[in-house]
Amino acid sequence: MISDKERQIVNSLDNKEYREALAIEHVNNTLAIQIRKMRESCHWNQSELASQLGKHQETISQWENPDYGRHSITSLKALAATFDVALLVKFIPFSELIQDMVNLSETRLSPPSFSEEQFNTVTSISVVSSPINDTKDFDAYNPSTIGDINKTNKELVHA
Amino acid sequence: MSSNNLIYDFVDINGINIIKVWLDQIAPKTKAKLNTRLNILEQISRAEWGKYNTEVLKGDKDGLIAVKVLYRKIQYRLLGYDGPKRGEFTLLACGKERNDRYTPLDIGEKSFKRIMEIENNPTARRTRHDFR
Repeated sequence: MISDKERQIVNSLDNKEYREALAIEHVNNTLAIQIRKMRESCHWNQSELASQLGKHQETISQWENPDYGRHSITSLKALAATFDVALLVKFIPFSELIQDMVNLSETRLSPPSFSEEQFNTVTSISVVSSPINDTKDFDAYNPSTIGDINKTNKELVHA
Repeated sequence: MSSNNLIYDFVDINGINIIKVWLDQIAPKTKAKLNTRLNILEQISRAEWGKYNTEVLKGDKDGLIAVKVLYRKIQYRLLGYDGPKRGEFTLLACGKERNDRYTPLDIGEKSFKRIMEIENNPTARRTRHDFR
């Protein structure tokens, strides 16, 4: 069922200037929040993240400011690699934007790193409750690993 | 929908949503920016608001909370307070800030008066924030 907020946002989209700005601002705000939250979950201050990326602390501060809005895809790729998460940049319809706007969960704002994810089967992927530090630990922790997933994929292809 | 907080708008004695009226008078891009920020604030922990351009004011606006948005070198401010109930944040007045001066000049005084009006009749004097 559609919520009042979703209905209101849908109604606001009639104005082209407004909907363009809404889409841009949603990206600006969520990127700023995601960068800060992922940095904090790594227990890094802005200077520590900056040194990981070969940037100045002021740059990180700008990236974490929701008013900034000038993140480059190159910088985002570097951040994704540093935090060991995937980056997805794609064009979407406004209906999908609204769904994203009204469903900002903690996991979506602070996605777990690869080592924090638990890949049980091809169709079921979940997040482990306590972070695991590297892929070696991950292999030891969970018998059903990426190797198994690849094997299952091959079996599916050959079936 | 995942809502950590509920954001409300002040409604005057004639039933007019003062926040909505102000937002409808500004440029669509600025309004989109403010509404996007409010949407995000509704869904993150209240304890985290301070990290995302909100500020607890001091002086003649002591205790009021400003949602701060910069757009084209203009500092827009939405003033509100935590209440009337736990988990609720009510927007009281809107304005701009330049060189530490707010316009309208009486925005603080007006906001405190509105808090009293809301506390006396929360059902009639506020409504859920309108995201249109």
